Amino acid sequence: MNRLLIANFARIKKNKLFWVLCGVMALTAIVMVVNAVSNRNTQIDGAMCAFAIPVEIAAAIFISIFFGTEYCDGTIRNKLIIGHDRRQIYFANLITAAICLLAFAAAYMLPVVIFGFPLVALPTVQAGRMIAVGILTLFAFCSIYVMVSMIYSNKAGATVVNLVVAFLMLFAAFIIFSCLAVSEFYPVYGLEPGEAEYVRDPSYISGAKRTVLQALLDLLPAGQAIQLLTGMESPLWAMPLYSAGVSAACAGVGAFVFFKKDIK
Amino acid sequence: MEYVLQTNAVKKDYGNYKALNGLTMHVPKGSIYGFIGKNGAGKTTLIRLVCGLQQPTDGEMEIYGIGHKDRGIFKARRRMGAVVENPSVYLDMTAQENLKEQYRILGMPSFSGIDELLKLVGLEDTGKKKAKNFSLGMRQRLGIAVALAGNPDFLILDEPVNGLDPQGIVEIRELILKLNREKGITVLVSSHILDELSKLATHFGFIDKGKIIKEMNASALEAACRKCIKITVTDTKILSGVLDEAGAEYSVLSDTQAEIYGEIEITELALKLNARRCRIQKITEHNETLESFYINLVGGER
Repeated sequence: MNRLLIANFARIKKNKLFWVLCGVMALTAIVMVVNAVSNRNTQIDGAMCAFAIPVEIAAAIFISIFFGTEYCDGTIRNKLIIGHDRRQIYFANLITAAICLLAFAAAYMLPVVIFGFPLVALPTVQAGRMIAVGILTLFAFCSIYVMVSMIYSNKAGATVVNLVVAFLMLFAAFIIFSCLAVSEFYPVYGLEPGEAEYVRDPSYISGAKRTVLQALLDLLPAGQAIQLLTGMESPLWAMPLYSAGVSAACAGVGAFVFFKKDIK
Repeated sequence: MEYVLQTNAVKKDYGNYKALNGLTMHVPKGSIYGFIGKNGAGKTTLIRLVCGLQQPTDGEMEIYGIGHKDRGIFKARRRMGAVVENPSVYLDMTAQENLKEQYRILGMPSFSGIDELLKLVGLEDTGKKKAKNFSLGMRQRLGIAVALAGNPDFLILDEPVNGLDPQGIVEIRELILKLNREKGITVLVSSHILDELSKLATHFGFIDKGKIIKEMNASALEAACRKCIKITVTDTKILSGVLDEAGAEYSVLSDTQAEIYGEIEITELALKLNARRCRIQKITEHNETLESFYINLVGGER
Protein backbone atom coordinates (compact mmCIF):
# COMPACT_ATOMS: atom_id res chain seq x y z
CA MET A 1 0.00 0.00 0.00
CA ASN A 2 2.97 2.30 0.62
CA ARG A 3 3.73 2.35 -3.10
CA LEU A 4 0.17 3.40 -3.88
CA LEU A 5 0.28 6.13 -1.26
CA ILE A 6 3.61 7.44 -2.55
CA ALA A 7 2.23 7.49 -6.11
CA ASN A 8 -0.96 9.28 -4.98
CA PHE A 9 0.95 11.95 -3.05
CA ALA A 10 3.33 12.54 -5.94
CA ARG A 11 0.28 13.19 -8.12
CA ILE A 12 -1.31 15.48 -5.52
CA LYS A 13 1.89 17.53 -5.30
CA LYS A 14 1.48 18.43 -8.97
CA ASN A 15 -2.30 18.76 -8.87
CA LYS A 16 -3.37 22.35 -9.56
CA LEU A 17 -6.90 21.83 -8.19
CA PHE A 18 -5.49 20.77 -4.83
CA TRP A 19 -3.45 23.96 -4.47
CA VAL A 20 -6.30 26.16 -5.74
CA LEU A 21 -8.64 24.64 -3.14
CA CYS A 22 -6.00 25.15 -0.42
CA GLY A 23 -5.92 28.81 -1.50
CA VAL A 24 -9.72 29.04 -1.39
CA MET A 25 -9.68 27.59 2.15
CA ALA A 26 -7.13 30.19 3.22
CA LEU A 27 -9.17 33.00 1.65
CA THR A 28 -12.33 31.77 3.39
CA ALA A 29 -10.48 31.84 6.71
CA ILE A 30 -9.26 35.40 6.04
CA VAL A 31 -12.85 36.47 5.35
CA MET A 32 -13.94 34.87 8.64
CA VAL A 33 -11.17 36.66 10.55
CA VAL A 34 -11.98 40.00 8.91
CA ASN A 35 -15.63 39.43 9.84
CA ALA A 36 -14.66 38.67 13.45
CA VAL A 37 -12.53 41.81 13.60
CA SER A 38 -15.20 44.05 12.05
CA ASN A 39 -17.85 42.65 14.42
CA ARG A 40 -15.47 43.27 17.33
CA ASN A 41 -15.78 39.66 18.44
CA THR A 42 -14.03 38.79 21.66
CA GLN A 43 -13.53 35.15 20.68
CA ILE A 44 -11.92 33.50 17.67
CA ASP A 45 -13.64 30.15 18.38
CA GLY A 46 -16.48 30.71 15.89
CA ALA A 47 -14.14 31.50 13.00
CA MET A 48 -11.95 28.52 13.90
CA CYS A 49 -14.70 25.96 14.22
CA ALA A 50 -16.33 27.01 10.93
CA PHE A 51 -13.66 25.13 8.95
CA ALA A 52 -15.69 21.93 8.52
CA ILE A 53 -18.24 23.40 6.09
CA PRO A 54 -15.87 24.91 3.47
CA VAL A 55 -13.66 21.83 3.70
CA GLU A 56 -16.75 19.65 3.15
CA ILE A 57 -17.51 21.41 -0.16
CA ALA A 58 -13.87 21.49 -1.28
CA ALA A 59 -13.51 17.79 -0.47
CA ALA A 60 -16.57 16.89 -2.56
CA ILE A 61 -15.01 18.59 -5.59
CA PHE A 62 -11.44 17.44 -5.09
CA ILE A 63 -12.07 13.77 -4.22
CA SER A 64 -14.46 13.28 -7.15
CA ILE A 65 -12.12 14.84 -9.69
CA PHE A 66 -8.87 13.39 -8.35
CA PHE A 67 -10.07 9.79 -8.15
CA GLY A 68 -12.45 10.17 -11.09
CA THR A 69 -9.43 10.93 -13.29
CA GLU A 70 -8.17 7.42 -12.59
CA TYR A 71 -11.31 5.99 -14.13
CA CYS A 72 -11.52 8.64 -16.86
CA ASP A 73 -7.90 8.19 -18.03
CA GLY A 74 -8.05 4.46 -17.30
CA THR A 75 -4.99 4.59 -15.05
CA ILE A 76 -6.69 2.61 -12.28
CA ARG A 77 -6.17 -0.36 -14.60
CA ASN A 78 -2.40 0.09 -14.37
CA LYS A 79 -2.62 -0.56 -10.63
CA LEU A 80 -4.78 -3.66 -11.02
CA ILE A 81 -2.87 -5.14 -13.96
CA ILE A 82 0.41 -5.19 -12.06
CA GLY A 83 -1.21 -7.03 -9.19
CA HIS A 84 -2.31 -4.49 -6.58
CA ASP A 85 -5.12 -5.80 -4.41
CA ARG A 86 -8.38 -3.88 -4.78
CA ARG A 87 -8.70 -3.41 -1.02
CA GLN A 88 -5.23 -1.88 -0.95
CA ILE A 89 -6.17 0.48 -3.78
CA TYR A 90 -9.37 1.49 -2.00
CA PHE A 91 -7.80 2.12 1.38
CA ALA A 92 -4.77 3.87 -0.13
CA ASN A 93 -7.21 6.25 -1.82
CA LEU A 94 -9.16 6.69 1.42
CA ILE A 95 -6.00 7.55 3.36
CA THR A 96 -4.87 9.90 0.60
CA ALA A 97 -8.24 11.66 0.64
CA ALA A 98 -8.21 11.95 4.44
CA ILE A 99 -4.76 13.54 4.38
CA CYS A 100 -5.87 15.96 1.66
CA LEU A 101 -8.80 17.02 3.84
CA LEU A 102 -6.40 17.60 6.71
CA ALA A 103 -4.33 19.74 4.36
CA PHE A 104 -7.44 21.77 3.44
CA ALA A 105 -8.22 22.17 7.15
CA ALA A 106 -4.62 23.25 7.79
CA ALA A 107 -4.84 25.76 4.91
CA TYR A 108 -7.93 27.20 6.63
CA MET A 109 -6.36 27.27 10.08
CA LEU A 110 -3.14 28.95 9.02
CA PRO A 111 -4.61 32.47 8.44
CA VAL A 112 -6.73 32.07 11.59
CA VAL A 113 -3.58 31.41 13.61
CA ILE A 114 -1.51 34.11 11.86
CA PHE A 115 -4.12 36.90 11.78
CA GLY A 116 -6.99 35.78 14.04
CA PHE A 117 -5.02 35.06 17.20
CA PRO A 118 -3.26 38.45 17.38
CA LEU A 119 -6.19 40.52 16.03
CA VAL A 120 -9.11 38.84 17.84
CA ALA A 121 -8.20 36.49 20.67
CA LEU A 122 -6.56 33.20 21.52
CA PRO A 123 -8.87 30.16 21.26
CA THR A 124 -10.48 28.63 24.31
CA VAL A 125 -9.78 25.06 25.43
CA GLN A 126 -13.28 24.09 24.28
CA ALA A 127 -12.46 25.34 20.75
CA GLY A 128 -9.46 22.99 20.67
CA ARG A 129 -11.68 20.06 21.56
CA MET A 130 -14.23 21.05 18.96
CA ILE A 131 -11.57 21.20 16.28
CA ALA A 132 -10.49 17.68 17.18
CA VAL A 133 -14.12 16.57 16.84
CA GLY A 134 -14.39 18.52 13.58
CA ILE A 135 -11.44 16.65 12.13
CA LEU A 136 -13.19 13.37 12.81
CA THR A 137 -16.26 14.83 11.08
CA LEU A 138 -14.04 15.49 8.05
CA PHE A 139 -13.09 11.80 7.98
CA ALA A 140 -16.79 10.93 7.80
CA PHE A 141 -17.21 13.31 4.83
CA CYS A 142 -14.10 11.82 3.25
CA SER A 143 -15.41 8.30 3.63
CA ILE A 144 -18.70 9.19 1.94
CA TYR A 145 -17.05 10.95 -1.02
CA VAL A 146 -14.43 8.25 -1.56
CA MET A 147 -17.18 5.62 -1.53
CA VAL A 148 -19.11 7.47 -4.26
CA SER A 149 -15.98 8.16 -6.34
CA MET A 150 -14.75 4.58 -6.21
CA ILE A 151 -18.11 3.02 -6.97
CA TYR A 152 -19.27 5.42 -9.68
CA SER A 153 -16.70 5.30 -12.47
CA ASN A 154 -17.93 8.41 -14.29
CA LYS A 155 -15.84 11.41 -13.21
CA ALA A 156 -18.42 14.08 -14.02
CA GLY A 157 -21.22 11.95 -12.59
CA ALA A 158 -19.35 11.29 -9.35
CA THR A 159 -18.57 15.01 -8.99
CA VAL A 160 -22.25 15.90 -9.40
CA VAL A 161 -23.36 13.16 -6.99
CA ASN A 162 -20.81 14.19 -4.35
CA LEU A 163 -21.74 17.87 -4.61
CA VAL A 164 -25.45 17.07 -4.45
CA VAL A 165 -24.77 14.83 -1.41
CA ALA A 166 -22.71 17.60 0.22
CA PHE A 167 -25.39 20.27 -0.26
CA LEU A 168 -28.26 17.93 0.57
CA MET A 169 -26.53 17.02 3.83
CA LEU A 170 -26.01 20.69 4.60
CA PHE A 171 -29.62 21.64 3.83
CA ALA A 172 -31.00 18.66 5.72
CA ALA A 173 -28.76 19.43 8.68
CA PHE A 174 -29.73 23.12 8.56
CA ILE A 175 -33.45 22.34 8.51
CA ILE A 176 -33.16 19.85 11.38
CA PHE A 177 -30.99 22.29 13.32
CA SER A 178 -33.52 25.10 12.79
CA CYS A 179 -36.32 22.88 14.06
CA LEU A 180 -34.32 21.91 17.13
CA ALA A 181 -33.11 25.48 17.76
CA VAL A 182 -36.60 26.73 18.60
CA SER A 183 -36.73 27.69 22.29
CA GLU A 184 -39.29 25.94 24.44
CA PHE A 185 -40.49 29.21 25.95
CA TYR A 186 -40.52 32.73 24.63
CA PRO A 187 -41.19 35.92 26.60
CA VAL A 188 -44.32 38.03 26.11
CA TYR A 189 -43.63 41.51 27.51
CA GLY A 190 -46.34 43.42 29.40
CA LEU A 191 -46.96 47.16 29.45
CA GLU A 192 -45.00 47.67 32.63
CA PRO A 193 -41.20 47.71 32.33
CA GLY A 194 -39.72 44.38 33.38
CA GLU A 195 -43.08 42.67 33.18
CA ALA A 196 -42.74 39.52 31.07
CA GLU A 197 -44.59 36.27 30.84
CA TYR A 198 -42.98 33.13 29.40
CA VAL A 199 -45.19 31.26 26.96
CA ARG A 200 -44.50 27.78 25.60
CA ASP A 201 -43.74 27.82 21.87
CA PRO A 202 -46.05 25.32 20.10
CA SER A 203 -43.41 24.68 17.42
CA TYR A 204 -40.96 23.40 20.04
CA ILE A 205 -40.18 19.74 19.38
CA SER A 206 -39.98 17.55 22.42
CA GLY A 207 -40.01 13.92 23.44
CA ALA A 208 -39.14 11.05 21.08
CA LYS A 209 -39.35 13.24 17.99
CA ARG A 210 -36.64 15.53 19.38
CA THR A 211 -34.43 12.55 20.25
CA VAL A 212 -34.75 11.14 16.74
CA LEU A 213 -34.04 14.49 15.07
CA GLN A 214 -31.07 15.13 17.37
CA ALA A 215 -29.67 11.67 16.56
CA LEU A 216 -30.13 12.36 12.85
CA LEU A 217 -28.36 15.70 13.18
CA ASP A 218 -25.49 14.03 15.04
CA LEU A 219 -25.28 11.25 12.48
CA LEU A 220 -25.06 13.61 9.51
CA PRO A 221 -21.49 14.86 9.19
CA ALA A 222 -22.94 18.18 7.97
CA GLY A 223 -25.10 18.24 11.12
CA GLN A 224 -21.97 17.89 13.21
CA ALA A 225 -20.32 20.66 11.19
CA ILE A 226 -23.28 23.01 11.84
CA GLN A 227 -23.27 22.16 15.55
CA LEU A 228 -19.55 22.91 15.68
CA LEU A 229 -20.21 26.27 14.04
CA THR A 230 -23.13 27.23 16.28
CA GLY A 231 -22.15 25.62 19.54
CA MET A 232 -22.61 22.01 20.52
CA GLU A 233 -26.05 20.70 21.34
CA SER A 234 -25.00 17.09 21.77
CA PRO A 235 -22.34 15.91 24.20
CA LEU A 236 -18.86 16.33 22.70
CA TRP A 237 -17.93 12.70 23.28
CA ALA A 238 -20.83 11.43 21.14
CA MET A 239 -19.68 13.16 17.94
CA PRO A 240 -16.51 11.12 17.36
CA LEU A 241 -18.56 7.94 17.85
CA TYR A 242 -21.05 9.02 15.21
CA SER A 243 -18.23 10.07 12.84
CA ALA A 244 -16.41 6.78 13.36
CA GLY A 245 -19.64 4.90 12.67
CA VAL A 246 -20.34 6.78 9.43
CA SER A 247 -16.68 6.47 8.31
CA ALA A 248 -16.54 2.73 9.00
CA ALA A 249 -19.90 2.02 7.35
CA CYS A 250 -19.06 3.95 4.17
CA ALA A 251 -15.53 2.51 3.97
CA GLY A 252 -16.93 -1.01 4.39
CA VAL A 253 -19.65 -0.58 1.77
CA GLY A 254 -17.29 1.20 -0.64
CA ALA A 255 -14.52 -1.39 -0.34
CA PHE A 256 -16.99 -4.26 -0.74
CA VAL A 257 -18.63 -2.83 -3.87
CA PHE A 258 -15.27 -1.82 -5.38
CA PHE A 259 -13.95 -5.34 -4.73
CA LYS A 260 -16.82 -6.81 -6.73
CA LYS A 261 -16.91 -4.11 -9.40
CA ASP A 262 -16.26 -4.90 -13.06
CA ILE A 263 -13.74 -2.36 -14.32
CA LYS A 264 -13.59 -1.59 -18.01
CA MET B 1 5.19 -26.76 -23.89
CA GLU B 2 5.33 -24.06 -21.24
CA TYR B 3 2.38 -21.72 -21.22
CA VAL B 4 2.29 -18.19 -19.89
CA LEU B 5 -1.50 -18.09 -19.98
CA GLN B 6 -4.00 -20.93 -20.01
CA THR B 7 -7.73 -20.67 -19.69
CA ASN B 8 -10.14 -23.53 -19.28
CA ALA B 9 -13.84 -23.16 -20.09
CA VAL B 10 -13.90 -19.55 -18.93
CA LYS B 11 -17.30 -17.91 -18.87
CA LYS B 12 -18.28 -14.31 -18.32
CA ASP B 13 -21.87 -13.17 -18.17
CA TYR B 14 -23.14 -9.60 -18.11
CA GLY B 15 -26.70 -10.14 -16.95
CA ASN B 16 -28.23 -12.40 -19.58
CA TYR B 17 -25.53 -11.70 -22.16
CA LYS B 18 -22.80 -14.33 -22.36
CA ALA B 19 -19.63 -12.46 -23.37
CA LEU B 20 -17.45 -15.56 -22.92
CA ASN B 21 -18.95 -18.96 -23.28
CA GLY B 22 -16.45 -21.61 -22.17
CA LEU B 23 -13.29 -20.15 -23.67
CA THR B 24 -10.18 -22.35 -23.62
CA MET B 25 -6.88 -21.00 -24.85
CA HIS B 26 -3.13 -21.54 -24.46
CA VAL B 27 -0.48 -18.85 -24.91
CA PRO B 28 2.96 -20.47 -25.23
CA LYS B 29 5.96 -18.82 -23.60
CA GLY B 30 7.99 -16.68 -26.00
CA SER B 31 5.24 -16.48 -28.61
CA ILE B 32 3.39 -13.61 -30.20
CA TYR B 33 -0.15 -14.85 -29.84
CA GLY B 34 -2.57 -13.28 -32.29
CA PHE B 35 -6.03 -13.22 -30.78
CA ILE B 36 -8.41 -12.81 -33.70
CA GLY B 37 -12.11 -12.20 -33.62
CA LYS B 38 -14.69 -9.83 -34.92
CA ASN B 39 -16.03 -6.94 -32.84
CA GLY B 40 -18.02 -8.25 -29.89
CA ALA B 41 -16.50 -11.74 -30.11
CA GLY B 42 -15.14 -11.46 -26.56
CA LYS B 43 -11.49 -10.48 -27.07
CA THR B 44 -11.48 -7.49 -24.74
CA THR B 45 -13.59 -9.32 -22.16
CA LEU B 46 -11.01 -12.09 -21.94
CA ILE B 47 -8.20 -9.54 -21.66
CA ARG B 48 -10.05 -7.77 -18.84
CA LEU B 49 -10.33 -11.07 -16.99
CA VAL B 50 -6.65 -11.90 -17.49
CA CYS B 51 -5.69 -8.44 -16.22
CA GLY B 52 -7.83 -8.81 -13.10
CA LEU B 53 -10.15 -5.96 -14.04
CA GLN B 54 -13.08 -8.35 -13.88
CA GLN B 55 -13.70 -11.81 -12.48
CA PRO B 56 -14.89 -14.76 -14.57
CA THR B 57 -18.38 -16.09 -13.89
CA ASP B 58 -17.05 -19.63 -14.22
CA GLY B 59 -14.01 -21.56 -15.43
CA GLU B 60 -10.31 -21.58 -14.65
CA MET B 61 -7.53 -19.24 -15.67
CA GLU B 62 -3.82 -19.66 -15.01
CA ILE B 63 -1.06 -17.10 -15.39
CA TYR B 64 2.40 -18.68 -15.12
CA GLY B 65 0.65 -21.76 -13.76
CA ILE B 66 -1.06 -19.88 -10.93
CA GLY B 67 -4.85 -20.08 -10.80
CA HIS B 68 -6.88 -16.88 -10.79
CA LYS B 69 -8.34 -17.69 -7.38
CA ASP B 70 -4.92 -18.30 -5.77
CA ARG B 71 -3.43 -15.63 -3.56
CA GLY B 72 -0.25 -15.81 -5.66
CA ILE B 73 -2.04 -14.39 -8.69
CA PHE B 74 -1.20 -10.85 -7.52
CA LYS B 75 2.49 -11.74 -7.61
CA ALA B 76 2.12 -13.43 -11.01
CA ARG B 77 0.49 -10.29 -12.39
CA ARG B 78 3.57 -8.27 -11.45
CA ARG B 79 5.25 -10.04 -14.37
CA MET B 80 2.60 -8.70 -16.72
CA GLY B 81 2.02 -5.46 -18.58
CA ALA B 82 -1.04 -4.57 -20.57
CA VAL B 83 -2.70 -1.93 -22.69
CA VAL B 84 -6.44 -2.59 -22.58
CA GLU B 85 -8.48 -0.72 -25.21
CA ASN B 86 -7.28 2.88 -24.82
CA PRO B 87 -3.81 3.54 -23.41
CA SER B 88 -4.00 4.12 -19.64
CA VAL B 89 -2.04 7.32 -19.19
CA TYR B 90 -2.57 10.51 -17.22
CA LEU B 91 -3.44 13.05 -19.90
CA ASP B 92 -2.27 16.04 -17.85
CA MET B 93 1.21 14.59 -17.43
CA THR B 94 4.20 14.36 -19.75
CA ALA B 95 5.50 11.01 -20.99
CA GLN B 96 8.26 11.07 -18.41
CA GLU B 97 5.89 11.98 -15.55
CA ASN B 98 3.57 9.15 -16.56
CA LEU B 99 6.42 6.68 -16.41
CA LYS B 100 7.60 8.06 -13.07
CA GLU B 101 4.09 7.57 -11.69
CA GLN B 102 4.04 3.97 -12.91
CA TYR B 103 7.51 3.39 -11.41
CA ARG B 104 6.19 4.61 -8.06
CA ILE B 105 3.16 2.29 -8.29
CA LEU B 106 5.53 -0.56 -9.07
CA GLY B 107 7.82 0.43 -6.20
CA MET B 108 10.88 0.66 -8.44
CA PRO B 109 13.93 1.86 -6.49
CA SER B 110 14.94 4.51 -9.05
CA PHE B 111 13.82 6.16 -12.27
CA SER B 112 16.97 5.08 -14.10
CA GLY B 113 15.24 3.03 -16.81
CA ILE B 114 12.84 5.75 -17.94
CA ASP B 115 15.02 7.35 -20.62
CA GLU B 116 15.76 3.94 -22.12
CA LEU B 117 12.08 3.07 -22.13
CA LEU B 118 11.14 6.35 -23.82
CA LYS B 119 13.80 5.72 -26.43
CA LEU B 120 12.52 2.19 -26.99
CA VAL B 121 9.05 3.48 -27.84
CA GLY B 122 10.35 6.52 -29.72
CA LEU B 123 9.09 9.17 -27.30
CA GLU B 124 12.47 10.45 -26.10
CA ASP B 125 11.97 13.89 -27.67
CA THR B 126 8.52 14.71 -26.29
CA GLY B 127 9.96 16.90 -23.49
CA LYS B 128 7.30 18.86 -21.61
CA LYS B 129 4.50 18.04 -24.03
CA LYS B 130 1.55 16.62 -22.10
CA ALA B 131 -0.06 13.34 -23.09
CA LYS B 132 -3.32 15.12 -23.94
CA ASN B 133 -1.47 16.83 -26.81
CA PHE B 134 -0.02 13.55 -28.15
CA SER B 135 -1.24 11.92 -31.34
CA LEU B 136 -3.09 8.61 -31.00
CA GLY B 137 0.01 6.69 -32.06
CA MET B 138 2.15 8.50 -29.50
CA ARG B 139 -0.39 7.78 -26.76
CA GLN B 140 -0.45 4.14 -27.82
CA ARG B 141 3.34 3.99 -27.59
CA LEU B 142 3.27 5.73 -24.21
CA GLY B 143 0.70 3.18 -23.05
CA ILE B 144 3.06 0.40 -24.14
CA ALA B 145 5.97 2.12 -22.33
CA VAL B 146 3.85 2.27 -19.14
CA ALA B 147 3.03 -1.42 -19.57
CA LEU B 148 6.73 -2.16 -19.99
CA ALA B 149 7.76 -0.18 -16.90
CA GLY B 150 7.96 -3.24 -14.66
CA ASN B 151 10.07 -5.23 -17.15
CA PRO B 152 7.24 -7.72 -17.76
CA ASP B 153 7.69 -11.16 -19.33
CA PHE B 154 4.17 -11.07 -20.67
CA LEU B 155 2.65 -8.15 -22.55
CA ILE B 156 -1.02 -7.91 -23.48
CA LEU B 157 -2.04 -5.47 -26.19
CA ASP B 158 -5.69 -5.02 -26.97
CA GLU B 159 -6.22 -3.75 -30.52
CA PRO B 160 -2.94 -1.78 -30.49
CA VAL B 161 -3.23 -0.55 -34.08
CA ASN B 162 -6.84 0.63 -33.86
CA GLY B 163 -7.18 4.10 -35.32
CA LEU B 164 -3.51 4.42 -36.26
CA ASP B 165 -2.26 5.68 -39.60
CA PRO B 166 -0.14 3.32 -41.77
CA GLN B 167 3.09 4.76 -40.38
CA GLY B 168 1.85 4.27 -36.82
CA ILE B 169 0.82 0.68 -37.60
CA VAL B 170 4.29 -0.13 -38.91
CA GLU B 171 5.92 1.46 -35.84
CA ILE B 172 3.79 -0.54 -33.41
CA ARG B 173 4.40 -3.74 -35.37
CA GLU B 174 8.14 -3.21 -35.34
CA LEU B 175 8.06 -2.42 -31.63
CA ILE B 176 6.16 -5.63 -30.83
CA LEU B 177 8.59 -7.70 -32.91
CA LYS B 178 11.54 -5.99 -31.24
CA LEU B 179 10.17 -6.68 -27.76
CA ASN B 180 9.55 -10.31 -28.60
CA ARG B 181 12.84 -10.98 -30.35
CA GLU B 182 15.24 -8.85 -28.32
CA LYS B 183 13.71 -9.06 -24.87
CA GLY B 184 11.98 -12.42 -25.16
CA ILE B 185 8.64 -10.99 -24.06
CA THR B 186 5.58 -13.13 -24.72
CA VAL B 187 2.96 -10.95 -26.39
CA LEU B 188 -0.78 -11.46 -26.63
CA VAL B 189 -2.14 -9.14 -29.33
CA SER B 190 -5.82 -8.93 -30.04
CA SER B 191 -7.12 -7.56 -33.29
CA HIS B 192 -9.81 -7.92 -35.88
CA ILE B 193 -7.33 -6.91 -38.59
CA LEU B 194 -6.22 -10.35 -39.76
CA ASP B 195 -3.67 -9.17 -42.25
CA GLU B 196 -1.84 -7.14 -39.63
CA LEU B 197 -1.69 -10.02 -37.18
CA SER B 198 -0.45 -12.42 -39.85
CA LYS B 199 2.68 -10.26 -40.15
CA LEU B 200 3.42 -10.59 -36.45
CA ALA B 201 2.04 -13.62 -34.74
CA THR B 202 3.71 -16.96 -34.21
CA HIS B 203 0.50 -18.47 -32.81
CA PHE B 204 -3.13 -17.74 -33.48
CA GLY B 205 -6.34 -18.11 -31.53
CA PHE B 206 -9.61 -17.55 -33.37
CA ILE B 207 -12.49 -16.46 -31.18
CA ASP B 208 -16.15 -16.30 -32.06
CA LYS B 209 -19.19 -15.85 -29.84
CA GLY B 210 -17.09 -16.11 -26.70
CA LYS B 211 -15.34 -19.35 -27.64
CA ILE B 212 -11.98 -20.21 -29.15
CA ILE B 213 -12.86 -22.06 -32.32
CA LYS B 214 -9.32 -22.81 -33.44
CA GLU B 215 -5.79 -22.47 -32.09
CA MET B 216 -2.86 -23.01 -34.40
CA ASN B 217 0.69 -21.92 -35.00
CA ALA B 218 1.82 -19.67 -37.85
CA SER B 219 3.16 -22.50 -40.04
CA ALA B 220 -0.11 -24.43 -39.74
CA LEU B 221 -2.02 -21.31 -40.68
CA GLU B 222 0.33 -20.65 -43.58
CA ALA B 223 -0.21 -24.19 -44.81
CA ALA B 224 -3.95 -23.83 -44.45
CA CYS B 225 -3.94 -20.59 -46.43
CA ARG B 226 -1.50 -21.76 -49.07
CA LYS B 227 -2.49 -21.79 -52.72
CA CYS B 228 -2.86 -25.42 -53.80
CA ILE B 229 -4.62 -27.86 -56.10
CA LYS B 230 -6.86 -30.39 -54.43
CA ILE B 231 -6.91 -33.55 -56.48
CA THR B 232 -8.96 -36.74 -56.18
CA VAL B 233 -7.48 -39.77 -57.96
CA THR B 234 -8.05 -43.53 -57.93
CA ASP B 235 -4.68 -44.18 -56.22
CA THR B 236 -2.57 -41.60 -54.38
CA LYS B 237 0.46 -43.96 -54.36
CA ILE B 238 0.76 -43.60 -58.13
CA LEU B 239 0.14 -39.87 -57.82
CA SER B 240 2.94 -39.62 -55.23
CA GLY B 241 5.35 -41.33 -57.61
CA VAL B 242 4.54 -38.95 -60.44
CA LEU B 243 4.77 -35.90 -58.19
CA ASP B 244 8.10 -37.06 -56.72
CA GLU B 245 9.50 -37.41 -60.24
CA ALA B 246 8.28 -33.90 -61.04
CA GLY B 247 9.80 -32.55 -57.80
CA ALA B 248 6.47 -31.05 -56.71
CA GLU B 249 5.55 -30.25 -53.13
CA TYR B 250 2.41 -32.05 -51.99
CA SER B 251 0.65 -33.70 -49.11
CA VAL B 252 -1.48 -36.84 -49.19
CA LEU B 253 -4.80 -36.47 -47.42
CA SER B 254 -6.20 -40.00 -47.99
CA ASP B 255 -5.93 -42.98 -50.37
CA THR B 256 -7.65 -40.92 -53.03
CA GLN B 257 -7.02 -37.28 -52.13
CA ALA B 258 -3.96 -35.08 -52.12
CA GLU B 259 -2.98 -31.41 -52.17
CA ILE B 260 -0.33 -30.14 -54.58
CA TYR B 261 1.36 -26.85 -53.73
CA GLY B 262 2.85 -24.39 -56.17
CA GLU B 263 2.50 -24.32 -59.96
CA ILE B 264 2.10 -27.61 -61.84
CA GLU B 265 1.42 -28.45 -65.49
CA ILE B 266 -2.00 -30.13 -65.30
CA THR B 267 -1.99 -31.67 -68.82
CA GLU B 268 1.41 -33.25 -68.26
CA LEU B 269 0.31 -34.61 -64.87
CA ALA B 270 -2.91 -36.02 -66.36
CA LEU B 271 -0.98 -37.76 -69.20
CA LYS B 272 1.53 -39.29 -66.78
CA LEU B 273 -1.21 -40.55 -64.47
CA ASN B 274 -3.15 -41.94 -67.39
CA ALA B 275 -0.05 -43.81 -68.56
CA ARG B 276 0.10 -45.52 -65.11
CA ARG B 277 -3.61 -46.27 -65.17
CA CYS B 278 -4.50 -43.82 -62.49
CA ARG B 279 -7.56 -41.75 -63.21
CA ILE B 280 -8.24 -38.19 -62.08
CA GLN B 281 -11.75 -38.04 -60.63
CA LYS B 282 -11.82 -34.43 -59.49
CA ILE B 283 -9.52 -31.45 -59.48
CA THR B 284 -10.16 -28.08 -57.76
CA GLU B 285 -8.05 -25.04 -57.12
CA HIS B 286 -7.80 -24.14 -53.46
CA ASN B 287 -6.78 -20.54 -52.85
CA GLU B 288 -7.62 -19.56 -49.28
CA THR B 289 -6.66 -16.18 -47.89
CA LEU B 290 -6.31 -15.60 -44.16
CA GLU B 291 -9.55 -13.68 -44.32
CA SER B 292 -11.52 -16.42 -46.06
CA PHE B 293 -9.94 -18.98 -43.74
CA TYR B 294 -11.27 -17.04 -40.78
CA ILE B 295 -14.68 -16.52 -42.35
CA ASN B 296 -14.91 -20.24 -43.07
CA LEU B 297 -13.99 -20.94 -39.47
CA VAL B 298 -16.67 -18.71 -38.00
CA GLY B 299 -19.21 -19.89 -40.55
CA GLY B 300 -19.83 -16.50 -42.15
CA GLU B 301 -20.37 -15.63 -45.77
CA ARG B 302 -17.61 -14.55 -48.15
